[in-house]
Amino acid sequence: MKSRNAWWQIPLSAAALVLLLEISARVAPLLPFTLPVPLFALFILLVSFMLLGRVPAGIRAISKVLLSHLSIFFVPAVIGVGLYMQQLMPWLSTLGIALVISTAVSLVVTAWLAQKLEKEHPSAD
Amino acid sequence: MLTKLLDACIALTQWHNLLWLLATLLCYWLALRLAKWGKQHTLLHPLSLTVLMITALMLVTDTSVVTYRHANSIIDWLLIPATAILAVPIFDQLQYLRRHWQRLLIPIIAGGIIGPLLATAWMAFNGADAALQATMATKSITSPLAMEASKVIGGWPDVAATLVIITGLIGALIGPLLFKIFHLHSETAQGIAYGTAAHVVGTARAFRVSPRAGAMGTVALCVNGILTAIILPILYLWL
Repeated sequence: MKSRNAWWQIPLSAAALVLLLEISARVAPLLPFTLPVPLFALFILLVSFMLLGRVPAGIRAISKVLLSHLSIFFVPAVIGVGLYMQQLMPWLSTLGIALVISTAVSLVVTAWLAQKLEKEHPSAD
Repeated sequence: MLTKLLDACIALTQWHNLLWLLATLLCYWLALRLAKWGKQHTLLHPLSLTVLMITALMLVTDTSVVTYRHANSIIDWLLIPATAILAVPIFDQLQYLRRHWQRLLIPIIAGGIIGPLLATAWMAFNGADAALQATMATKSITSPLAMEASKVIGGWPDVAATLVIITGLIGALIGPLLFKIFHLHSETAQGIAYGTAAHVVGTARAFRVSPRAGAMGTVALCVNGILTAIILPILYLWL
């Protein structure tokens, strides 16, 4: 695996990714249903990996960097909330209650169902 | 897509824009160090720390949100490839998914419906307008998907991103306590729940339970995110 990891694979994969995104942005709106552009690109990537039987080394290297620093990509978006602060102010407590209750219920329901299904269909591993 | 990337790069040829980008990177780096020093406690999440530091800087320098966002549009843009690249962890778990898909899918769908439904219903019950309700519907899926989905259904993408992050922090904080109270000891089940209800932040918490729990969290956040991002716009078109 190490020998495959040539440095030029990273810029090449990055260029391929940008090209895929550009194509996705043009093709996704033509679909009969609404599909976010990044999702369309995700599906194309997944199908390519399945056909290829592996993730190309350059793409994997890029995925490691992007996914381990996911947090930073949200910074501009969160700062952008400043623009909506006026509309949000009267709703802060209602929003807070909604978030805590719905998250708690969702966590418990999901874990309870998953644990129940796991006991009913125990796996070999 | 290419034009957006080019525009983002052109913005950086101006000094003050470049400085704000460097400020974001520096604050993020500091936040990572601080989170590490605090033993990765959920309250010290690098994102909330970075946002706090940037907000302070913006207040001190009297910079507007619009200026800041324009300067950092390259970071904004990178969110798109960062979402598409989620195909890699999904591909890595494909074997497990093929064997146990029903065991994973049922809890993810149940949790993925009940969370947003409760939150949206609560907002509607309290008289929130349609845009705020639409924004709430995307709050338990991972931010990049939530922003896209809320754009389609008429919500506010930026607010969606923030609600998503707060949801993640809440989930990671109350998860351990809830699992203890309700005797939910299965690591796989906890991982699926963290990924479904609290996306990336929850998944990071799941990785501390065990690697398997973390992997389940990754799959759950991807599956829930994709299903919600596809189904919500269709639902909103019909209703």
